[in-house]
Amino acid sequence: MTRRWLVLAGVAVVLLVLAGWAVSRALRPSEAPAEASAANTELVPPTAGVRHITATLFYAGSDGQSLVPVRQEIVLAEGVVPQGREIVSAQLLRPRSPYVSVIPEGTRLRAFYVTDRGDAFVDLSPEVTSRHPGGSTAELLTVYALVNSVTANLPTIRRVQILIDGQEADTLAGHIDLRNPLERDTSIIKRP
Amino acid sequence: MPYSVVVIDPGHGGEDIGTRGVAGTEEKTITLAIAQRVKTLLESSLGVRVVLTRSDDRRVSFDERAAIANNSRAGLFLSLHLNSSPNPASAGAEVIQLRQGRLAGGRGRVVDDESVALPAPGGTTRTVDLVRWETAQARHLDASAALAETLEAQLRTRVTMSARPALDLPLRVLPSVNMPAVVLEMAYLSNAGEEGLVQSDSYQDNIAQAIHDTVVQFSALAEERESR
Ligand SMILES: [Zn+2]
Repeated sequence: MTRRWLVLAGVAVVLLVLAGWAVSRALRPSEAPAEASAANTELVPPTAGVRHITATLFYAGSDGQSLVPVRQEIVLAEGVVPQGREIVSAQLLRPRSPYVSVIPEGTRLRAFYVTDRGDAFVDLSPEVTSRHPGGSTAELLTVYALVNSVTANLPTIRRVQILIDGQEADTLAGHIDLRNPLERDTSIIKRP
Repeated sequence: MPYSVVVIDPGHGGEDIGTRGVAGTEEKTITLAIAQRVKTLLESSLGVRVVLTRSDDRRVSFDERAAIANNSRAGLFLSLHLNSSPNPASAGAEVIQLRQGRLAGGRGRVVDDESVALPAPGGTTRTVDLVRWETAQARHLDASAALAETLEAQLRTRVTMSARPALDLPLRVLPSVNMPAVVLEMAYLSNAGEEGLVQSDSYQDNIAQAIHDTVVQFSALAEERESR
């Protein structure tokens, strides 16, 4: 009798654990596939019929120490915040050849919002720091590709603060101070 | 020597490895090795005390680095790093000082330091300067620019300089440092040639000698300023 109860209890425990695992799997947001596709997606112009604007995005200059501005068609959105989301999302994607991205692969936009002081907050997934190659030059390019793409295309935005995974951050890779919003920096932009 | 103490800050450490070269060289290891070489050279030949913000492989926060420097009452602060670029051909040393606008606390104005009178023994008072932690570097920006210029000139005769050897950037490690302070990006680990170079004794000695001569020259400048 005792033995039979033990076996039954054992089976019940295994079933509960399996059920819990299945539920937690089902509830987990499907981040991994979206991430993988975002990392591999090349920025393509909006399809015909979709209203679009021409935005300026920033990629690595040929010297590896500057940013080049590149004109790129992106989806037109109604209002500063939705348009800001389109701009940053486009900036995160892999550029068309021969341009080279300065954003770590797999970085996704979590949120974009604007304060009434005209500061934009760009909240990025942790890949922007965990996959960053490091070095103050590479870090500078990453930070100002984001700051410049937002301020160059949205005239009402004066400054940009980068958040990582919803949190204020010290730096992306140990050098550039992210504790306060940053203004546009044109000194690292080189005309191609 | 008007300076009895110099602070050398080996970049990164612990789980923060910094940047990594193609052959696997880690920034944190080279910055520490060169910092130790600088310490040995300065202490033996100048008789100054060199304080390292870390002397082993561990993580030190930015505020801790500034606190170690400020508590040591040193004459200058030099942070050592190795760089990385998307172009593997990028090469050379860069001297970076803090960008002026960064000390506005993000609000468009530089906050003033204040002084307060505190009671002292004998019924008198003494005046103590209160320096704001976040903007301590503000009062040293001119001296930091002179330090950057001196260091760049000393490096130029010994190592390859970057195409943009002098920069002012919003660097995280500098705002709270209450003394002349710069960051030295010694070479690019993303450049295979420089990755090999930074491990050699001759290169590390060249950097140490450039820093040695910078300390001598910069402290002479400071002495001149004080006597005026
Ligand atoms: Zn570094």
